[in-house]
Amino acid sequence: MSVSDHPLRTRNDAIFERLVPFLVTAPWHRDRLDLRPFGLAIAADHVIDPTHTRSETFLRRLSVLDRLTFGPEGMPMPPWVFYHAAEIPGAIFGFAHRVETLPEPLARRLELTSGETGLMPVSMYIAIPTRARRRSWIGHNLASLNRVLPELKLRRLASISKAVALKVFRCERQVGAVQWDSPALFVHSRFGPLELLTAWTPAHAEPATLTYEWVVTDERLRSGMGDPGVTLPRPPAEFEVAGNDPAAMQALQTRIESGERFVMPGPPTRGEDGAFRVPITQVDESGRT
Amino acid sequence: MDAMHEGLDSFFVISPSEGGFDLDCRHRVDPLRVDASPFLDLIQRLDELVKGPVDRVLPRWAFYDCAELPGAVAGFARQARDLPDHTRMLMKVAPRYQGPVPLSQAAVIPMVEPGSWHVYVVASLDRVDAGLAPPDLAAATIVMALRGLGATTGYAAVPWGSPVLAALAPLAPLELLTAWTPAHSEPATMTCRFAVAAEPGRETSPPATMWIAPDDHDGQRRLQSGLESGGRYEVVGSPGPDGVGLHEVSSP
Repeated sequence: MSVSDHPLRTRNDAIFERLVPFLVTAPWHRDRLDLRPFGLAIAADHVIDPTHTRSETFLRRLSVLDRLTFGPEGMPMPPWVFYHAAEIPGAIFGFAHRVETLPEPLARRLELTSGETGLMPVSMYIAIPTRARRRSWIGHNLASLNRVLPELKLRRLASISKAVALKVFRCERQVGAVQWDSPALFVHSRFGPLELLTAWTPAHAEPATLTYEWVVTDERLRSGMGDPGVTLPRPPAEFEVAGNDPAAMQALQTRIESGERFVMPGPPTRGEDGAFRVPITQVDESGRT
Repeated sequence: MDAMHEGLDSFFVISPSEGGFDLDCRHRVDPLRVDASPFLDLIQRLDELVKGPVDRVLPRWAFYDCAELPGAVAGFARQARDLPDHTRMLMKVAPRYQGPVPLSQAAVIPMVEPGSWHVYVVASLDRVDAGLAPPDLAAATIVMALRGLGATTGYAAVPWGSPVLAALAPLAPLELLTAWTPAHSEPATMTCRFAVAAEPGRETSPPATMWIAPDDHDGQRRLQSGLESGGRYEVVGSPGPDGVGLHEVSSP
């Protein structure tokens, strides 16, 4: 796939030269998804059917991607969670490198053995639909090997994978949960202001988690990919919440539970103590600042 | 719905951010609120009690991200004060807690196709101790969850020997989608789809023409091969001493 074959403009168009898109979806969903997101064709043999035994190798490699991205201290997904909480109800989109053209040292780091062929996924975005609003999806895993394999120059791979995935899923509203001190905040904030549904989340394994939602548009997806032609309006920050300040998170949660509304208008900055400072702005009933 | 099991209250853990349902239940728990935490602790404790021995405990983040936010966790509960001491101890109910204690739960996830829901996790306390909850509680919980959410089609993935399959099978014929599932941690897992009937179990099933035992991995692989070659099969009736009964709808 050449960049000139589709209208995508990103901060790293070379990704489309080096990698190929893939989609894991059960047969009962396939016709409801967009297999030419932004004109980028997903080859028929790169649409992986998780109910078929021939998919076993590729699905095992997704687990490797998950583990290498998040490491032993992360929240790795056992294969049964992949199956139950992604492949049956939702879908997985990402980019893959052809195993045959990976340099041998990189292949070893990806736990590939000599003679293996096919696709090695290097990014994935996992999402499942929500119950009431049509075309609303919850993203629960965004993995990228950009930092693990700097030699491949996969800068912005996570953002680009998420943007194209949401287009594949025909998503019109996205919900997600992310920790206040997670670098993933940089990725999610590229898509524009994010409204906060929670600021302190005991329902999650990490209570210092925020839950966000945003309305998906092509313009915001292009912004997420780093299209130089798109500039999103962002309200100025009114205050900041530090990524290591649970009291501030709990105070904000109290205000959310009392009916006040807030957005995270842009990316965090890093304070002198090394902790993230996450910008926050109050909005009114209509979502205006 | 509350009359389904006398003395038990139905509950839904469900996010209001996804729009409203006119849910018929006694307790509605909002996972976006801090005060939901004690009940969510009990949800997780029930899962640990039932699933612990098979190492299939759902991480708390997966309950939140993959069930409570997009779908629901529904089940039956009893007030803490009405539970025997040994049940409160088993469930690790805090001494001052006065709210409902879940005795069963089904985590369900909506699917892309409107009306279709995936039954993700099922747990009921009778699997820990038969005297702690009615024996058909798991099946009643699945039915209550799916019907409460307006589901027309259910999906599930369960190991061939799982008690959850025994709960599902009497509800309706289960269209087999996989019989041997390497994508799952336990390949001896079947995936199925079924109609959510107004009166579950009333539909007449055809007689079984073949049987698959939980440990018959060769048979499960042959059946999977048949599915991948275009064959269609249904699980019919409750599992018996010979295994799970199947009806061949069409040959590969």
